[in-house]
Amino acid sequence: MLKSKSISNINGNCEELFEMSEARPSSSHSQNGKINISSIDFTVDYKNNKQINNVKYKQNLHTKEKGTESEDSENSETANLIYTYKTLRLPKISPEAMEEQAVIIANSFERKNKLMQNNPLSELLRLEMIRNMPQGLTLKRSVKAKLTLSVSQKSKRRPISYWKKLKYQSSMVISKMKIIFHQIGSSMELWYHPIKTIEGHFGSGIATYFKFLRWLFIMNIIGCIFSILFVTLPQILVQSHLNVSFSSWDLLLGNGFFTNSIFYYGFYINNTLMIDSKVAYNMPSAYFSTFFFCYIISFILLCFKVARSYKKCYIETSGGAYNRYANKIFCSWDWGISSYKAASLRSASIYRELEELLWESKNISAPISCSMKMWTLLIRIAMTTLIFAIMCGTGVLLWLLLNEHQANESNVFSVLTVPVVFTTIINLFPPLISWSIKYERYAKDRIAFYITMIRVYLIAVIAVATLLTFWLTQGIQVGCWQTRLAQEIYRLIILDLFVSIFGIFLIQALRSSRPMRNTLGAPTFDIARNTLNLIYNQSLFWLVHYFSPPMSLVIIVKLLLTFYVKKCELLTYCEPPSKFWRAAQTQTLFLALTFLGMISAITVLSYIAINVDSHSCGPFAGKNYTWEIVVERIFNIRRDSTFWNVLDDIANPGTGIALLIIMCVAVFYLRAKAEASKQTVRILREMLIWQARDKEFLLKTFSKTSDKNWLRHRQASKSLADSDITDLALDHQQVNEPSTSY
Amino acid sequence: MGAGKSQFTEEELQDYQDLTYFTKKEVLYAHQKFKALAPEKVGHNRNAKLPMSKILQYPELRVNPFGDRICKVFSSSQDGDCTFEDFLDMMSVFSDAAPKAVKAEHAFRIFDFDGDDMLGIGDLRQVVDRLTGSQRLNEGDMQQLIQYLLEEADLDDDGSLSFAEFEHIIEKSSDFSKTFRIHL
Repeated sequence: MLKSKSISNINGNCEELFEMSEARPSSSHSQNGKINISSIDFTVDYKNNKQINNVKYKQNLHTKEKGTESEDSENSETANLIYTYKTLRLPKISPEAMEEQAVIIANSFERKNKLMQNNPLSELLRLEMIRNMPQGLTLKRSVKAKLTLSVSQKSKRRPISYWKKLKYQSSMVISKMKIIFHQIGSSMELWYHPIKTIEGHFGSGIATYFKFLRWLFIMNIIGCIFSILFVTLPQILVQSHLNVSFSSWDLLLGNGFFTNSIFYYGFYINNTLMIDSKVAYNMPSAYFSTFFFCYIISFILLCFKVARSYKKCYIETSGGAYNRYANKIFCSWDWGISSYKAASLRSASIYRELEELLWESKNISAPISCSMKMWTLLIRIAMTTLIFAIMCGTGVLLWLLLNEHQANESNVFSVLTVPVVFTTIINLFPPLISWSIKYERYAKDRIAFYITMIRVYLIAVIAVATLLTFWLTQGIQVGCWQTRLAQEIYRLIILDLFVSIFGIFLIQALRSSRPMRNTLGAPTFDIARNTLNLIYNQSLFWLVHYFSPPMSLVIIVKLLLTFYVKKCELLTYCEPPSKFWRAAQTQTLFLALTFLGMISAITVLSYIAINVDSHSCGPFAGKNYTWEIVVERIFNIRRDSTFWNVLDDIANPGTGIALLIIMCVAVFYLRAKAEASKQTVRILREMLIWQARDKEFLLKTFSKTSDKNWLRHRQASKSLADSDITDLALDHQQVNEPSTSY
Repeated sequence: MGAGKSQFTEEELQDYQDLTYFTKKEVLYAHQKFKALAPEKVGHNRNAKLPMSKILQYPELRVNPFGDRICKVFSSSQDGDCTFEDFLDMMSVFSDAAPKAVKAEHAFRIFDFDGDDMLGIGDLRQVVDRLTGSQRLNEGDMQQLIQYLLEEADLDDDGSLSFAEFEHIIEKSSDFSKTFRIHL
């Protein structure tokens, strides 16, 4: 009796308090509706009782109405509606209670005019709302039934205008298309079961590698279809190859039989195909526009992926890195794991990471002496210089080799020297670099990891850049240099298949044998190195695709092989990683590196199209530059036209500098804005804390005063016969003394 | 999926598609998986209630330290026994398409062992104990850990995490939506 009364008092207080807190901090609640609601949660969660839950629910409803009366935007409404049900939990639900709850929820929906229109748009919105409710399916279904019923009762049958009808129809078509696409996507999800098996045994980190591989595979298929359909097939109709005998070496070296075939740029003709007397097919235009669209499509797809990943991992979660403990505890279990072994390893690694974290927090690193700091810095500088020197050395070595071996086409070993050295460098340096990083003593693993990745990437970039520079400067004299460059890259791609796919497979197989396992430990799957290898391959492909349309087939087959070989390697030889992989954060880095590869490929190709001589062979033979033929044939613009003159005027260094400055200013402005927002968030956060403390204090005071009032009331009405109550009252008075001064 | 199809009408499937994050095909696939847990029982009655021990044979739930909690949270009778609709609901929340807020709500319920709508010290201890599995943190470390955790996340200093505080952590975590999912 006593207890329930005091609770109802508190309930009353809550409401008062709610009003007060609403009225007081005007600055904070006008900023953000959500903070407002969560602060109510703080207040009301003070005591846990079903009654309070009900009150809270009503209050939330109350706030919801308040919030939505202004009808700011659809988003805030959505958020408000979702938040309404967030803290509504009923501990035991009997069928009647469920029905009751459904009625309450349905009623709250019914107050929203926007949701209750009898048109497809609001129906979609309604379904979305219901779907996002955290309640069970049965309840959702009953809410849906109620709403559908009340909507159909409410609606008056009257003819709608033509425009509205069109609007609804189009939006329905769009949403239906979405569902159909989703259905197709989910039923055609490539390699669904293998990836699920891998995820179950090795966690979601390694699964991201395979998903990335799948994504590249699908993107390359799109490119392949375009280039084969619009470029290679028309060429096949005319002539597919010259009569040259075929030898098996040609498959490895990509020359001989292949040199004069549809495989390379040089073989494509530079005039209009007459398929029959009526159909004409202009090869140069087709070649250029096909590749233009291929690259643009890949570029847009990649842009979206990078932007989404960046948004998810950096923008939406900025400031979350400080929740180290909370992240470890609440987000470290991988719910997709399905094997006992992986689960026990995950447990062990969580245990170890927690221990490490605790250890770090307890022993806040002792101040490092100045000389020690200098020493570390010196080591880092020396190491970085050394690695840069090695990179430059690599470049010089490759340059010399390229110069030496270009003359001799017929000798197999001479042709293979450059690709072999190249592939060795690409595959040998990464382990060396990741081994040497230990001596640089970076405080954080993440920084060390990023530095390693960037160095490994740089090595590849320098090697590829040397190759390109050679062909674009020295190689041009050779005649059809486009074909030769494509052959060179073809060899690289094929050799890489042998070394980093089959070679690594063999090494892992060896490592998993008993004696090796005892000395070196069980083999594990290096996600970083494998992902970088994918990026390297993809960048090479983007470079060479323009010079060899069927190369897309080669790369597709290679990715297919990579998938199955890696999967087999993983499932038969590798152990689940003992340290788990922060997939979310590294994914953006890898995507950014891929993006960089794409950008450089596009830059190089556009440089080639605009500035490098193309008259010797290929679809653009006969003209000095590829660009000319494109401008003349596709846009029908002559050299002396106004457009060309204007373009000439615009394309001077001044414009470039002006653009650069504008971009810098924009970036600076956005950065400043972001910084300011960060500050605001910090201030709001602090405000939230103080507000919550205020409320807690007020709540305590209120409950004390109300207890006292109640006791006084009792004392007046009843005699003080009962000794227990007297004691209680005395206790309370003693306790309450300080608060009266307040 | 031919066998599963006969057990549902088109309207029911449409209903499931509207109310969950699955397409019709995925709903049927989920039913297949559900049926595999107890072929006879589900063959008779497609919405049969399976005991928690049966549901826990699902591979991902079997090894999950919170398997029993998941069953209880999604069970409509609150005792861990699940009907097909409960199971579908569970898989829908764990699917890729479910928004972070919905996932956070259910994660909160899973971690809230005593059902008091707050993650108190007891709840947090139990979460950590279940996560570390066979190895247990010693008492001192555990206290320290909980203290650090509360310092970080308990914005109002009341010694436990409310849903708003929990959601704040989840919203800021880039790992959560990557790891809190079970593929069908």
